[in-house]
Amino acid sequence: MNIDKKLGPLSLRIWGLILNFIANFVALYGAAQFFKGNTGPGLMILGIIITIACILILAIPQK
Amino acid sequence: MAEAIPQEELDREVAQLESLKQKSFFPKVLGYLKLGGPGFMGAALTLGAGTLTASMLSGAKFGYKTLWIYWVAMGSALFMMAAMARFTTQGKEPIIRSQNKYHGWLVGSFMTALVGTAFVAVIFNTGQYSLGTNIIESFTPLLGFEFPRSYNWILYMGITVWLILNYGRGKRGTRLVETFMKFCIGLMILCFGATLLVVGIDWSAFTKGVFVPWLPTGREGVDLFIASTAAAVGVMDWIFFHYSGLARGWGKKHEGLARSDFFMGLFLPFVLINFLVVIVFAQTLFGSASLPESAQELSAALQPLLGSKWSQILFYLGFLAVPISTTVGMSIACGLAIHEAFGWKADTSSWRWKISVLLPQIGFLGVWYPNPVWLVIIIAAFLSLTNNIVGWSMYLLLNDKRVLGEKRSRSYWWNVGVLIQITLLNGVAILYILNRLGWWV
Repeated sequence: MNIDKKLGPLSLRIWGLILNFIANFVALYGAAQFFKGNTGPGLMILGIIITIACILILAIPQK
Repeated sequence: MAEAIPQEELDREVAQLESLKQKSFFPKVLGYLKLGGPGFMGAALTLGAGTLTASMLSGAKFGYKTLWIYWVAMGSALFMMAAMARFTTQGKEPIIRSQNKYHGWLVGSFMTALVGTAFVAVIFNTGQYSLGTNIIESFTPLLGFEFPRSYNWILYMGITVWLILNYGRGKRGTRLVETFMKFCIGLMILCFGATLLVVGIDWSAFTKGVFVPWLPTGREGVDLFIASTAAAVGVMDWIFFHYSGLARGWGKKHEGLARSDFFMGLFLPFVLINFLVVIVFAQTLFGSASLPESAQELSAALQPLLGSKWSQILFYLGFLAVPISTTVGMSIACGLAIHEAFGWKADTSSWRWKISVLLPQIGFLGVWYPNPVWLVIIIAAFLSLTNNIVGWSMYLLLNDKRVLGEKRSRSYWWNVGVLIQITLLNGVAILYILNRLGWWV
């Protein structure tokens, strides 16, 4: 997978960093809602899964 | 700055490093300790009034429970420090210039150099002055005389200015400052360690605190957590390590030394000293009905619990090394950052250099107008927002062929480590926002 390919104005690597940030937000917001008892753990788990996926993909070194 | 070091000295150092490679573990470690420096400077800079206040409050408010934060935060920072070591020893140019070239002036000169380093140095030096002069004022009566802060700030300024202006004046000047920083770190470990012997340790709570993650709830608790984390993984530490390595003339053969230096000089002292401070306050003030909130008041509350006069003197001596070494480190970082931000050559004999490094001395006003402790912590938390953008930039440059050529990161797991730190920085910034909006637990 070439994550240094451009997609629009930015490379996939930079889009990945942005997606990771959003996923981190979703995970922490979901955790706050879950621990307050407002919702189930779904949102938090979704955020954690996307975060892990982003880290594993973004770790691919440049070719 | 490295130009002031004769080439023969640099060659001799490289030859020493080559011979160390053949030696057994202990002589090798001792050799690296002797040759290292920027890592210790980084630890002395990081362990300032803000970090120590956060640690004292952590121990007094939450006991041993937050110990895990220090090694996790600094441990994840090691991957980024390894990236800085790579930029220093294998990079084609200083890192802020690469940032300016590939990510723009806003990320390089503005966010990394001016906001993340110079601005932080000027703002946070107020806290160092306030703490340092207070310690001298509280400490001198134990020696039999009074030296109020309205006068002792002159002594504080004299010592720090002398050290700051020595930095970069050839190898001898740089070595003098580095040795002083190593001495300060040693003094902190010795003095806080001796204090710990007086107050004792609860090993069961210690083990639990180190290995079982726990997060405080409530706005103050989260701010404290963010301040402890952000203090360990700041932009200033990355930049300072990189540029102080360049000032030492580190080149391609120094990468091993740079790596051992940030581990032995930065990671170990940072974790150890914070552990010592948290434990001392957990053992003495944890569970008290009303706790003071400033470092000065906390240390005053601790003083009678330390018993003998000499244990009090030792505590204050170690404590005094904290603001002095931070003022020196931050001032040098400030000068380097301002010069890099504007593309100036760092000539230590020029007035431009002297003004840039002495800019944080405006913090002497903190003697009369101290920042409230929670303001210091909130500023530290706000800076975490800058940290993550600069962290993104460093990760991208580490993986950029144009910057490091064939020496760019080829390791999947190194990248994973850097990304975990970026995620931690993101998390700290997000937690700060959620907490301010009242959306956190």
